[in-house]
Amino acid sequence: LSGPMLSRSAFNEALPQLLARLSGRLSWPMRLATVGAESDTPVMELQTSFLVAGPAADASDSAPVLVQVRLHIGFSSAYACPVLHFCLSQPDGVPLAASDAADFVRVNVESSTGEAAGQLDLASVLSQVPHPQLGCPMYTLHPCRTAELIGRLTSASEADRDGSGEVRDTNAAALAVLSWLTVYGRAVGLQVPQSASCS
Amino acid sequence: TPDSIQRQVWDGKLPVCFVLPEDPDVPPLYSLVPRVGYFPALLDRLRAHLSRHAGIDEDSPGAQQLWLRSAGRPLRWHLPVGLLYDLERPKPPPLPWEVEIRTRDFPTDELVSFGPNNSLESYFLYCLKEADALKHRARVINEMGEREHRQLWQGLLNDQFDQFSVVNRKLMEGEAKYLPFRIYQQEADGGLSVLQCLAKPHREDSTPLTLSDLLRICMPNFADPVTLATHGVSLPMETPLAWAYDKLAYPDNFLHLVLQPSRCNSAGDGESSAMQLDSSSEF
Repeated sequence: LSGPMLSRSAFNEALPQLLARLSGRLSWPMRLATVGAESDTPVMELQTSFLVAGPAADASDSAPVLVQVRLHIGFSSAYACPVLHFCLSQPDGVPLAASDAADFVRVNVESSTGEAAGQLDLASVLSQVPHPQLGCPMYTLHPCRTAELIGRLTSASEADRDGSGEVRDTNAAALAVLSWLTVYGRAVGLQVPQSASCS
Repeated sequence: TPDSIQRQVWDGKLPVCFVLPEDPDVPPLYSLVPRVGYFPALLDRLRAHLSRHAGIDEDSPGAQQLWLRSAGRPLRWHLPVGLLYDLERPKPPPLPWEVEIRTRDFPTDELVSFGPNNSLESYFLYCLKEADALKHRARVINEMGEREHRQLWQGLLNDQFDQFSVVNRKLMEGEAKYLPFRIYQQEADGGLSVLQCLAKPHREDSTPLTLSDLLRICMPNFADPVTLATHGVSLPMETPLAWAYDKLAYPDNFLHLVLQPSRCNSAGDGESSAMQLDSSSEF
């Protein structure tokens, strides 16, 4: 059904390369953080924070609405795939109201995919949940379809050279995560430049 | 046929007394709350109570940003009611459990906010999906349509065990790759540590994985004697994880285990809140 699976350790090993590929091309701070442990494997994330244009509050506003996005790129062992957790606030730090947060994601998804307004059932894939290690409330996109996508990406990159069913090639893992981020990052206004996937 | 332990787990209830400290003239609201249920499911009832007795309009910011506190700390209401009770330190409070209603200063950095844009139902489904991802690579939950997802939620919300079980049976049967569980430890400073890891139902030699094995996997460097408890009952450490999961998992399809130092016998207090587990049950 799906290609070779990412494991948490493969994800952890790919993070430094992911950081290197992104930090040269994106102008905001990024860092690797260890947020907990799963058995004897550290739970690691790539964390970043950036300002993007938010959905226009109303047509009469002349100033662009800015949204502060705090983004954690982590890994879900249950789904064996990367997962995004994020906080959305006004530039002064006040969290966006739930309806504004939903609008922000909806507008980003629609402008990326060209889907007509109202057709996307955001409620079924966007939730505010406690971060699995940090405990604080953050938004997440349900990973239920992501595992399938990652499987296709890892298949395409021939990342399972030893036939074990697991991705062991760090370069392949980093590229798979980068491809996933290029797609899913758009939901929070993150534009990953194409140059990030070049050597 | 309904399993009697699963039914006892479902039927467990806690008497709760909701008070409004900011207005002592408002009478408390008493409710028998299912241990396997969630506090946010009561928000409409609480708002109606405040509207009737405290003059707080249901659409006002105070009512809309309502939250709950116990022993001076926000109640992490994304967790089931019974688990929250069992986590209270230094020991579960006397019954009825006094819970404070707050209408100001919603702790946005600590509590998930449930409302029209983030429903408790979709959070419940998020938990079910993750559990099925662990057990069946999400195949079973994804094969179910929206109608069956709704039936699970409505069954829980309306205390309808049969309505819930007929669908839940599909999620609970068959071979599980990994078993969904979480181990909780309430810290002295009010923080909560939550441990989760990948655990198969069997050891390498095909014998059942026990709770002792689970602790060794999850907390490899931990040496102190501890107990694991769920639904207010301490479990013997030789209990097979698969048996405990099958009988004692919450409706969200997770086995929620509370870790306590073994010299502390907090599971013995509040007897009326604990389910009496038949000790002669075969594993």
